[in-house]
Amino acid sequence: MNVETTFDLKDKLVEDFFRLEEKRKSLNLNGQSAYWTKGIDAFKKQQFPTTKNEDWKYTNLKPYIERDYSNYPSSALDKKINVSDYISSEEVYYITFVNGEWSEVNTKLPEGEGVVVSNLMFAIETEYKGVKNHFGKYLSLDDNIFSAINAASFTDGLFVEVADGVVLDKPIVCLYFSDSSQGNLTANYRNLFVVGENAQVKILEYNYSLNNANYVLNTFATEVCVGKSANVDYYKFQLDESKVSQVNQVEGKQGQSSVFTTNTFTLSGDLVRNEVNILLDGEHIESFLNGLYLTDGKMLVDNRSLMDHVQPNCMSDEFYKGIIGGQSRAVFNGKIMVHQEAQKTNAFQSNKNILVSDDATINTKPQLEIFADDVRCTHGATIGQIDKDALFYMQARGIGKDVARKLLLKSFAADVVERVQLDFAKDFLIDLIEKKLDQI
Amino acid sequence: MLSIKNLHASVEDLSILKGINLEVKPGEIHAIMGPNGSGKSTLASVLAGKEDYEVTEGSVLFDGVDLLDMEPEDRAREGMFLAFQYPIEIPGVSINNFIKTAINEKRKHFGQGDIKAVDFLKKIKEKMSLLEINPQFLGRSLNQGFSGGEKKRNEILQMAMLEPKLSVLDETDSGLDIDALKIVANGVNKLKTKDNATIVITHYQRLLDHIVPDFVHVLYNGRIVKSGDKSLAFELEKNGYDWIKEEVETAAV
Repeated sequence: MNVETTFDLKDKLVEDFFRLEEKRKSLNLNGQSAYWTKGIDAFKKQQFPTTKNEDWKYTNLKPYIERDYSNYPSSALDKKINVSDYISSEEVYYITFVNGEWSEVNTKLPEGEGVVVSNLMFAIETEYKGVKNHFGKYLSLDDNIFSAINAASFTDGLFVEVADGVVLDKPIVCLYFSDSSQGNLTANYRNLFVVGENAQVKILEYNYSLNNANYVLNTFATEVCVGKSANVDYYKFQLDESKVSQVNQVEGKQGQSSVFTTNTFTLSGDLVRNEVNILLDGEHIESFLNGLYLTDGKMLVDNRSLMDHVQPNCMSDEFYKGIIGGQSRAVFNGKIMVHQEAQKTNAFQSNKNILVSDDATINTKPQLEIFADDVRCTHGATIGQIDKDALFYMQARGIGKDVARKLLLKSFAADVVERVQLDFAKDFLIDLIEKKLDQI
Repeated sequence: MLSIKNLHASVEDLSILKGINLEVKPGEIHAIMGPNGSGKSTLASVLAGKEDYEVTEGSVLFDGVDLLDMEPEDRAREGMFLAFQYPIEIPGVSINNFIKTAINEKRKHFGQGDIKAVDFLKKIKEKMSLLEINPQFLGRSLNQGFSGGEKKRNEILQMAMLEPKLSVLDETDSGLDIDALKIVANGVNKLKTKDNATIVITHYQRLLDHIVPDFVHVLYNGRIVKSGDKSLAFELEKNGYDWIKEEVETAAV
């Protein structure tokens, strides 16, 4: 079905592609230059999905793709963003991007053996091993138009390479800022994390908007390769303003006995679509997906995931909770795939939601495809409202309705918070929830 | 302190309370007993301000103020405490946090600031020692996975910390064991002063062995049909409710 509009985002993106290609001509891309072309080719072959497409059934893209977006740098790039407003800068390494471009002045990277943290373009130009061996290997472009857009148009992102056995001493925080003061904006970020055997790293991404002037549509594509027995703790804090949308793709591949935790916390934004696909490519792997979304206004949060069990003796655990208010909408679609060889798989999935307003909606769909016979797989989805009896109990103790309501919602979110391993991330999340519950 | 006059209440259009009259003064313990379906829990719920119950006639004055006009949280803040038959589980909220929030909400109501952490700690330690409650209890999530006795301990601790003027104990749970009963009774007795009052709503006389009431009332068919002192409770224990029902029926003829 073709949308009849005077403006076609597809045409615009193809135009932008050529402009971005010109800009890249001066760079030494070490053979990766063909990748962007691969992206545009894949993009040209696809259409934006409509609600007739099962994967987008509850998420209508139309209003978001009818707008005209441009790539342009931020005026704030040269100015020093006060990073300490956002993070405790002594405790972490950090890197900052604004409108798709790396902000060197707002970056503090680790130095020394065994770890490389840089903006991706530098990593491509330097031809780090991680790029050579892993870049583009996990993200499929032909069946996902946003992945294709990302491949065709990305301007930078985060590159992390941790050598075998290295345990990073501090977490890495990646700050992405949008500045739409000059008009509707689009920025495309590409990340690559390559974590060696027995290595450990914590990576946090924060999405912020410097203003809410115009509409924004960002794409993020992150490829993660987790080596044998490695441990990766990955966080996304999605905190954009109400006109900022993002389509987020994470493709993870885990090696034997590794542990990978992806935490996705969505507290604001316009359309936020998160897709996390994890391939458990080895035995004795543990994979965790923790999620919390607190939505209000006209937000649309769409979380989808795939846990792909291809080998025996692995464990996956997906635990997502949502508090949905205002006129916002949430969508959840979690898929667990257990191949025939994946005996003794333990796969858990849980999605619990509370609707706190009459106009809020949630569509939740668990999907299990199990082809092995000696497995333990559970899934559960609930949708409810605030427990009236619990509310009354608190009122009968003198606790006002609003305070009681907030306490109950906080306690609802508590077990997701409990799963956060990194202390400052946990405290930050608690603080965010506290503030958001005053609004919902 | 509490003055109930001609109270009629119904739930879902079914008339349950059909004209209750009761006077409770400071320093008194009143027991309200009655057969199943007489309206005991309804009375407790109406006093607490539960939404599902509609008052169709009559008045309730608490220290001279119209109680029925007050929101449940304000009734609590003004000094009423309802101990629930089935306390709700609230995972993720610790007892410590819950009680502190309740105290601070009350203080806010009276224009005071939050209680100081050190004062709160001192007070709660004092009460826990008085009621013989293990300090580890505080960190647990409210009522989550609690036994009947533990739930009662939690209610009594809250009562001790909130220091209500009037406590209404809804104890009609037929599954209550003797230890839990003793915990409730012990708490009520230790917290009794000449300025506060307690209404115990109970199915059994057993509890009244431990909490000695000043007045016993029998609730039957939505009305208080007989009042007396603690000997009335013994009579009911010995002879059941049938003789009361007969008395009422005879009087109606």
